[in-house]
Amino acid sequence: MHKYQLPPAAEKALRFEQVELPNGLVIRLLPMPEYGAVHTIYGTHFGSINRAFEQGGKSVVLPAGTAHFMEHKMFENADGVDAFTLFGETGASSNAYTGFDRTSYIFTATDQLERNLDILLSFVGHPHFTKATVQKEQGIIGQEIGMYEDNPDARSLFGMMECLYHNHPVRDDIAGTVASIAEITPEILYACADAFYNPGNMVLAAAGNLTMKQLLAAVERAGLPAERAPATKRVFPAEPDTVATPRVAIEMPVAMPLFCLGFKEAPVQGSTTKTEVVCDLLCEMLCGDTSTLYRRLYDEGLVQPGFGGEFGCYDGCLQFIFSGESRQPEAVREAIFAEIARQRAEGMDAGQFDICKRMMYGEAIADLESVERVASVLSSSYFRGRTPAEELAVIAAVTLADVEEALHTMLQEDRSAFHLVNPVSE
Amino acid sequence: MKRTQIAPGVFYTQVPGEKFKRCKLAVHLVVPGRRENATALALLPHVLDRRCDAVPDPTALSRLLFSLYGAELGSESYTAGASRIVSLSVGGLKSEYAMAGEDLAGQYLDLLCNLLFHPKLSDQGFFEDEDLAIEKEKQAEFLKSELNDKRSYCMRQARRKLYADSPLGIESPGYLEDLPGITPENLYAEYTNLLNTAQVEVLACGMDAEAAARRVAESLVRPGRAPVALPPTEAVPVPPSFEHFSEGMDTVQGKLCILCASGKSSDGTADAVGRVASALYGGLPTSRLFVSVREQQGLCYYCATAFGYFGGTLTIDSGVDHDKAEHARDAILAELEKLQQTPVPQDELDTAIRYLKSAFSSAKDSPDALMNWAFTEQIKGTGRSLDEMAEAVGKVTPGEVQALMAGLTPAVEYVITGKGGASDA
Repeated sequence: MHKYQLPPAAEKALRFEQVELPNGLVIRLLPMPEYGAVHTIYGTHFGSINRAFEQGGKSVVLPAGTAHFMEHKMFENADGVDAFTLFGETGASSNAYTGFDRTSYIFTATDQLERNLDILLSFVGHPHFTKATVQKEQGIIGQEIGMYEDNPDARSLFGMMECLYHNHPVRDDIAGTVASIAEITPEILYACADAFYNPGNMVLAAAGNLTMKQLLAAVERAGLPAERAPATKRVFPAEPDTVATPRVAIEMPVAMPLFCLGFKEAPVQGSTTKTEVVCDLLCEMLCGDTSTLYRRLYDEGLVQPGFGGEFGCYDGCLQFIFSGESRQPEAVREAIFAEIARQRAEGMDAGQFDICKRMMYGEAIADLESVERVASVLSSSYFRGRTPAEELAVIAAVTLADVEEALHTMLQEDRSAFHLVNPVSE
Repeated sequence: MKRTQIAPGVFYTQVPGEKFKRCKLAVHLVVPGRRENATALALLPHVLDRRCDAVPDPTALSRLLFSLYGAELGSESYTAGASRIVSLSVGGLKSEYAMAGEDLAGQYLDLLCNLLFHPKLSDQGFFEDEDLAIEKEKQAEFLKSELNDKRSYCMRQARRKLYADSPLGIESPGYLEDLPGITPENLYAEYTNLLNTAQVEVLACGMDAEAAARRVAESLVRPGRAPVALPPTEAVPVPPSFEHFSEGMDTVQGKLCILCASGKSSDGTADAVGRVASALYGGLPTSRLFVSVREQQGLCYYCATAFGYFGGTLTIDSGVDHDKAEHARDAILAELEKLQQTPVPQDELDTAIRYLKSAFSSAKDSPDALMNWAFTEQIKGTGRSLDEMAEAVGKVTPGEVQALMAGLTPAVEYVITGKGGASDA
């Protein structure tokens, strides 16, 4: 990958269409006429970390879990017929999910595309909330929260976020708590709809056997606002550089301890693409399948399959998390620090760097295979301010020196935290 | 997708894959499931996928896969009905996406054949002690960790109660107590026996299945190779009474699993009816269980059903508040009773059929889904295409759904209760 020249087939696979409407809605489409299905995502740049905003001179503070709560409530229409029922009439499968920084409403269909687009754009574009339905949802989401409280992986991840951050909302569970969602009212949800569910904050991304003409016609039928809404200012609390709590251990009914070693990094200003690529390479080269550390820990029985590193990059925060299961989590923690120190001292492996870049190229192309993944890539890359081709260009341009420089500035022990989920003691 | 025999007990299926970016090759070795060698055969693919003669270092193997643009090596061992399946697969980008015009498909085939037929052996001619010791330890930890995921643990426990010592009860990942007895010698003997006796299914998508199967068949030419017939799967008998089990665990949310048995073996028609019945009972956001038990009565967070082709069963699993478990159970069974006593309205049936037909059509857009479908149909002996299944589903009537549901009897209930809850499992 020294010389960046994509094969013609890859160039072709990366071509997609994009239209931006006067109201700010961006529509992205990768036509795949040889496919039977269409996957469509109607996404908003509004996730669990968006907990305060200013719009039209008004300041609003949201309880934890509001974005996720809203996702649940959006499926209910004013006439009492929920969107799932409407999609059921067309045979489409539909769903929605909320992340740290976005919420996505999706459907996959092989038939009645116009009807499915109308349903999607209608229920997301015209929300309806009442006190009674909000109260009912508080019970259902309360049960969902209970389910995640029993999930050791979720407890481990959010436990780590609590360790790393003092104030940033990334430290709170995406679903919130039973207490926080009890504060949600229809008025709060309507304020969020005005601020974040306006077309200028959203993307309509689709892949499969349909055309841009069909998408534009559906948007026209949806009766969305013609004008761009006033900008919403996202407000984040001040966050110190230090970690909030360097070490926490809890107990749960698990067979083996789950560990998380986290590192709090300086948030990225501006484009995040290069930082994301570098962080991805760092994780892989330190403890991915191709690393000597992974093989040693695996073969010595110190980690189980699934051990690895990942990073998160959102508004106002950037963090690494190395996690897995181990009967000797402290030894794994020490081994990771030793490997970081070794690679800083000895330099990183140029051969490994090269094949990791090949792997990232392969993953990016493979992502363009299914309608679900393509629509997801189009949506997520839009919210990150790039195209899939631009991401590939950055992968090609990143040098070993870039990664080594990051290794020297990031992953510092004094900005790390360690979270353990231990088996319940007898 | 035509299945063609190329040698005794060796078949290949060409899965259409022109529109995909990736290609994939899978080799499935299928033998009758046996309790005695379940653990050895569960362990085998993990030893095989560590390294081989041509790539004798595990890290070098990982690096080879990365250099092939992140090619994926898959290995698994599981039971399906009365059979045990040991599979290896390799897939990745098609050659046209390679940066320097490399023949990627050819390298995938080489790698898979090397791993399957030329494993790294010790000087004694058996598997390496080190490989086996490492993978035994991993398998032991995997078996011990099953209670981490309470939902799947609850379902497994319910199935153990119902299937007991029948072939359907053989555990896919094997048994903890058997691991110490596995040695490089006896694992190698199981490996050799597998190659000698297995029905071999070669499936390829986006690459030449016939050429791959020919290569596999050549590697299988050996003295003593005699593929054995696969046994039919007997249905689970209906127990004389509805049995209830509970287990106390420190959890916030309880888990409830109910298994219903029909006592009848499935066939192609029952498969279509069972899928429709399961979808409208608890498989969709518009299903009876979702709408009534979750949305209207607020008794659970999730409540899902799955039709079990092998064994003729229906599984219902639910996440419930501890103090609502009994109410949820009663509500779930009340919905079952309604479907047993009253034909489902045509519009409700049509919703489930439309959903399933759409899902079958969507599956044609994924190489993995296409390959899994083709192989599963071979194992079932039904051999239908996705289009044929969609057609069969489209013909299901309210009367057929009612008859299938009426034939189901609640057999086992397993509940994960809260901390301090009584355990009678």
